[in-house]
Amino acid sequence: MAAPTAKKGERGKAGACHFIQPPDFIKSKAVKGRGVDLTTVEEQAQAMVSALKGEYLERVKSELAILEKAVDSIRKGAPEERGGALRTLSHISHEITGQAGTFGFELITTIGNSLCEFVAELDDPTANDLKAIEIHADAIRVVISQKIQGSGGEVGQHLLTGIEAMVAKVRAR
Amino acid sequence: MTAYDFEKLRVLAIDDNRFTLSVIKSLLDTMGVKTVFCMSKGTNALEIMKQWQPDVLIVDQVMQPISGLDLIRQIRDSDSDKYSFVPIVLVTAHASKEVVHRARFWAGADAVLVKPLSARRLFNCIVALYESDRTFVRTGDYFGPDRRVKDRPFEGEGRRAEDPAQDKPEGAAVAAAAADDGDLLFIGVDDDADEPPRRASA
Repeated sequence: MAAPTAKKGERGKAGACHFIQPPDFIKSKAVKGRGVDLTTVEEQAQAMVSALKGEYLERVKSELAILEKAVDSIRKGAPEERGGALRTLSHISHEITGQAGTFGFELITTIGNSLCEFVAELDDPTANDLKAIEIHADAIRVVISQKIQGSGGEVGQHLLTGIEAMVAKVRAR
Repeated sequence: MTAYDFEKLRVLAIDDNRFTLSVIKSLLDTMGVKTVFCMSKGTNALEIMKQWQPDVLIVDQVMQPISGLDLIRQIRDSDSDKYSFVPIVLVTAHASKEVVHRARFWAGADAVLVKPLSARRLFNCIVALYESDRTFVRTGDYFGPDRRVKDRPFEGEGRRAEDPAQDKPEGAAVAAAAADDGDLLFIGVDDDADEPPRRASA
């Protein structure tokens, strides 16, 4: 194997290619054949997830409050506040989407994905765009208040159909 | 089912969401990892790495003031003899083509883990890192894990005589299993089998 000629902090010259065998960080510390397997890990994680679920739900509520504040800031605030508020909307919608599945709220993930996509397309949000964001937030609140787990069955389908129709309508304008 | 003892592993987790950090820490705890250092931003990650000497990094993509991708690139570009090689997992809620491509061919992440985080995903990811025989490659604009995964012979000129890809590591099977779950986006996962063998140009 070719030894590296360039300093580690430097990218190589165009066309040059060096292969390096790095230190094995994980194998030097971990041991295969003893310890825990996937089944044990999943069993233990189930208890952990149950213990953190209440904290998670409170966290989503506070994230929704931040989201509403950002919407208000766009609606009523000075034009120079809009950029920051849009970034907040994007960040919070990602946070809400990312954590939900860990706690079994896949429906929040789906609604959150719709929210993320919707927010990503916003440049200069209209009143209808802001209303659409609030409807996403309301739908997530319904999921939380009714503790709808998984995809939510009929209620979940009903919520998603409503959101899809609303987003299509707002985009068409 | 194979067991792994990760007790001595030192993991550095970086995420600007403290709740997510506590979830990561708890999930690692269920895997037997006893030493986890959490940071809410990546600005002084290199300094911490030199002092604390982690064996694995778990980095969130959406962070301020430095994103996960930029942080990984910074670590790979660092002068550290050791820590520019540390295994790094990028965690993201949205595995868009652009993020995955940049993680893989620009930043030098070892894996992208798609949220939601779960014990299964994290465990499979760490196992895949354990099992993979990572060679690093330095090209004109890339420094990070070698992405070539093909095990069929290369017919062109200039192929290396010693080719790690010829001896497919056991980790490839583990990584492929993880990839089947749709959550682990690379680590020696052959995701474009119809393309010709790719040279190490990242």
